[in-house]
Amino acid sequence: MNLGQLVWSILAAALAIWILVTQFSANRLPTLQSIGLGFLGSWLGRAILLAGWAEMGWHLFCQHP
Amino acid sequence: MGRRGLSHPRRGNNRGWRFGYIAVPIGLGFAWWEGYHPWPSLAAHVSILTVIVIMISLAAIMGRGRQVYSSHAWLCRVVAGLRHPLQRSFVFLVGSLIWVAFVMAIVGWDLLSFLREVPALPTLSYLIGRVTRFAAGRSILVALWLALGGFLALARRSSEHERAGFRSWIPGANRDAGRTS
Repeated sequence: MNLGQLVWSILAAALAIWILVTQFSANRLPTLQSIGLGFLGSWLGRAILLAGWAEMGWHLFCQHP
Repeated sequence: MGRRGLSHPRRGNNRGWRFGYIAVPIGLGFAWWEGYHPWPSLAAHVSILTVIVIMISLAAIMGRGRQVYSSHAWLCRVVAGLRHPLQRSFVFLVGSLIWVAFVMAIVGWDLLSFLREVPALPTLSYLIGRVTRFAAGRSILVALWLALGGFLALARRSSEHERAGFRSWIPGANRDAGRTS
């Protein structure tokens, strides 16, 4: 495992743990779901997330990785 | 006040379930088919672009007049939250900062890996590409991407009751009643 893979693994593990911590915090911490739903409350926020989603799809599935 | 927004909640849920019964098999079938069309193919480009257009159209059609806040009100709430962060609890504030740190760490490390261009520092796209080069991996990631898109297009569409409740505590919001852009 090279340095890059090690850092990505640590980031992924830390993110997964943090998501679990926020989920079990009884709404004292902002969860991934609450952040997403906060954006989806208006057209502007929804458009920002949909633009990011579209760009991600094009980048991952239609461009050289 | 439109009748659509006052329909019984269970009736709306039944409509949603019927939509799901149709959309989920179509989405899974598409993801399976997409798995066999790697990134350089024209079919992959056309199909992904078509999905993007369909999802944005779906969001526009299903969400028309059903956003909880107007964009202006939402932006004001965001700016107010940034200008007065101490109005929230200390724990919430720390949690928000940790989320920001995660985003900055992921974007920063990806940018560094992209700029260095050495095999020891693969970008996130490169690592995901090692999964999408296989049909099964590509199909699974396309299915997850479709599910996320469906959530972003359809989630949190408000009822007329919710919008009326929101307008009742925003000064002057009744002047903009019905405007959601």
